[in-house]
Amino acid sequence: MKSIEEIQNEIVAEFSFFEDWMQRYEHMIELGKSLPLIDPQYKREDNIIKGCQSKVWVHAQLEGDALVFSADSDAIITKGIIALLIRVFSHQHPKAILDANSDFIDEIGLREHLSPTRANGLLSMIKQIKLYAIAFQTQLN
Amino acid sequence: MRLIFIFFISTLFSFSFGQKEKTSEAYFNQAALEYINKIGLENIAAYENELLEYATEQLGTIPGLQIYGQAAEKIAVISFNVDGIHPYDIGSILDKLGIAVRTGHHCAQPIMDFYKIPGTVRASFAFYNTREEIDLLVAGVKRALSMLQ
Repeated sequence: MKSIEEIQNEIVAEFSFFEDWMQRYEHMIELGKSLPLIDPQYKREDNIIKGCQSKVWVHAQLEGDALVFSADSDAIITKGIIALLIRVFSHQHPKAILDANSDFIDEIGLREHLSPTRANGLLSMIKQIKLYAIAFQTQLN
Repeated sequence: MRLIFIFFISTLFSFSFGQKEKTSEAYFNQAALEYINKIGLENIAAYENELLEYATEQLGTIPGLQIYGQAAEKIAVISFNVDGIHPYDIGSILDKLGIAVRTGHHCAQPIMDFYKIPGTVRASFAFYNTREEIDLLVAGVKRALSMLQ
């Protein structure tokens, strides 16, 4: 299993191949389309992330001692963003998620290329992932 | 009535939505009114209506595009969605293409609930816009759809 840092580095390298932001958006749209479907039972009100203008559902569950995320959104670019976050943080130990930074977002320039409302939504998604990690870390202790 | 008119003009011409310092706003209103009077309100209305008609006709050629609000006397704004596409997605791509539209519920949540939609994309036209810019908007929407559909 790759570490969070290794996956982040992979994403930074991947994004550096694109020449402009239209290509990066196209890539994110593809990522959004390829995000595995979330089990419909988890698309409920209490899994909706507050602070996102489009709807985003994130569900987390423990598999062994790793935290596995699934998600969905009604907007495809948002879905691409959450797909990136899931790639980085899913199947990792809650402690590793808590200790990890999310510098890759700035390194690929994602934050500055999002509208302010979407950038806020992105921060809310990371916050929610960390909150899940705290909750499940407590269970593991 | 006059107050309402001045408020309308000042809102229309505040190139940003932020709060302004009152004294500068008074000067700004005067400059805006002089500018408007020079061109003539009727000329402005006629030109904006022409832009609205052209944009309605051109956007209407895009399959799956639905325009909300088709009142005969409406001002030059077009709120629209395209089947199965979230308005934010279209707005984000248009933004990257340098085309400024507004997306979301536009502080009109009850009507969004009525239509059962999360929001719309809204393009507004003023007398400083051109038909060429509407062509760019239509091409931009088509490009966004080719990426999103």
